[in-house]
Amino acid sequence: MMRNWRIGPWVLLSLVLVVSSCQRHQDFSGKYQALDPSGNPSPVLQLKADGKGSWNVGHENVSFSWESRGDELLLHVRTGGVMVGKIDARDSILITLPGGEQFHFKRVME
Amino acid sequence: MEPAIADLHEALSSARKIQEELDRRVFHLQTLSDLNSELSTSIRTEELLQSFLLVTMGALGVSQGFALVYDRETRGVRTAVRGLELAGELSADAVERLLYKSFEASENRSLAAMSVTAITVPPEVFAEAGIQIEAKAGVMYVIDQRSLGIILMGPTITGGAPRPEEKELLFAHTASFMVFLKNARSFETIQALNDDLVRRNEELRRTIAELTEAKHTIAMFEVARARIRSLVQRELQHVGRVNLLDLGLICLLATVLGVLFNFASPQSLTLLPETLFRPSSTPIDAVAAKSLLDSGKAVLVDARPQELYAQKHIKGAINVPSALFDIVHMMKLGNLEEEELIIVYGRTISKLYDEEVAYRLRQRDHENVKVLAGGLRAWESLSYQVE
Amino acid sequence: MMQFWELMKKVLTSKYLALAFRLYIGGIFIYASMNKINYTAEFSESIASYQLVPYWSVNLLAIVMPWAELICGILLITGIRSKSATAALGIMLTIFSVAISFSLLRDIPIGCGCFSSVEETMSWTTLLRDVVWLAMSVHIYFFDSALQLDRGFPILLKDI
Repeated sequence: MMRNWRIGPWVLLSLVLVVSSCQRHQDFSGKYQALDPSGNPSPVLQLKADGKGSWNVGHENVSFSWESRGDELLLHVRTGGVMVGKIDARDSILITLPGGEQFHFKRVME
Repeated sequence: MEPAIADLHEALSSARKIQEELDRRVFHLQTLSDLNSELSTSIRTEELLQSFLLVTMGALGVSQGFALVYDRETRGVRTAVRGLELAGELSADAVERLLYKSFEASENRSLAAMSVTAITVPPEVFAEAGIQIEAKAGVMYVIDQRSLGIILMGPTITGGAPRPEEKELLFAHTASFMVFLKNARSFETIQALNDDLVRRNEELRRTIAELTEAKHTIAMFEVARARIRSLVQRELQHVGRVNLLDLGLICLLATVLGVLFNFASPQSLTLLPETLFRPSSTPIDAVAAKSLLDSGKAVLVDARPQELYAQKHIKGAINVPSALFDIVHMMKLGNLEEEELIIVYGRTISKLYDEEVAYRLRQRDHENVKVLAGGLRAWESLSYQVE
Repeated sequence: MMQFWELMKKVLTSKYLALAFRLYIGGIFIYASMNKINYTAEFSESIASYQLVPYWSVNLLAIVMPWAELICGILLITGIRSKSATAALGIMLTIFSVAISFSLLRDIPIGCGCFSSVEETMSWTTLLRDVVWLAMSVHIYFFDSALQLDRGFPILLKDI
């Protein structure tokens, strides 16, 4: 009895975490286009519902896995870096590159 | 003279009669002796029955004969017949009925052991039991409470009934026969007991073998039990104590699981950094780098993470963190000419960011990549500008 | 007044307090290991950012350490060899605290990488938090005795 009582909360917690993380993926998935290119190549963000995604510039692209945490969007790339996007409004993500350049992505219909 | 001759004739004829009588008696004794020697060659009931019937019928000069032994304990029926056919196997019940009827019809109604008594049973009783015999003489004999039987003799070859002396002979034969039957039964009992003994011996042997095996198994269990016990006891001593072995096990398990999982992980790492096995990039000293940068002939890349870049970096350096190289390169250096000189800097004791980025740049077809010797520190020691 | 102190002493040395700490610390370590196990490369960046270990050992540490945290966390919660697990966690927490202190003293502006690779730049409160956890581990080490799975062994032994 004691053991069940001890494991129970963790099972519940992990279930809640899994379920909630699944739902969040679907909220933000879609295609985003940077608004203000300012001379730079205009990147496109593709967030898929399964947590995968890609950062496309022209015909080049880098794949990543993504998750949202609060009002932050985390893009995990394979090499161990994390790009942090700020969800500042509905369908709008602000991403700051290392060095300070900011890109404002807006959701576009596919 | 006449009467004397007549007397003599009478005497002579009676002497002849006596002579004949004697001859018959001698013959009878002879057959009894034959019977005994014949019966003594066998100890099996069936053979005894056959021999007895053969000799006795010969002695009496009869053409049909029937002999039966019944064992009341085992309800076993054994018969021998000559000169007639039985309608079928005699059942124990039929034999018991037959014996009862014979007992009723016997002369002195005695069941004493080793007794022989004449019976005069109506022929239909035998017919009922399936024995088609025209019995002219019959005896019932009782060996003991267990075994008894009937012997029937048919008519003589001349067609008549046996004479009283011959009936006496039948009695004598039967008495002799009983002794042999009794011996045979004793022998059979001994045989059965022997067989039983052999069987029991075999069973005993098997049981002993099983027991020995069981003993081995038990001994094995005992050893296992003792071993588990000592194991658990040893375990118990560790409970509630810090154990270096436990710490070692935790480390080992973590290493094994970590390495195994790492192979499958999407962010899998090499166990040792790849920069360890690559040739170093061409270095460039701070003074030469400075002049190249000032004349606009080179691009300066800070390979460290953005926090460190934000804290302090060489003036004019572009931040391309090695961990985010792919995206940042695409965004910031995508338009760079391939032959443009790129100077990379930034390394710590824990990571050679500059070598990592230089390698990736070369992979992206940038031919001219150099690493700033001494990095930020060398730059600062020359009092060059940072921001 | 004496009674109050007696009561305080009783509460502070209670095995149930130790149990609460044990579950809490165990849970924290399991939770902390999850993200690191998932994103090994990011954790290796975190380790490297401390600038304390030689560069050839960074990847190995990043691969092994999260699993050690997970195993210790599980052992702590289930109460199997919890003393050894507590000791292991205590050692880890001590190393983390020392590492954080060094980074703070050397003014390296990094997140601690404790739970996720994206965190607030650490400060003295991060160190304080680790020290509190370390104190809890010490408490567990000395006072924990409730609900340990491997204490069930003696009952098992009687059965054999």
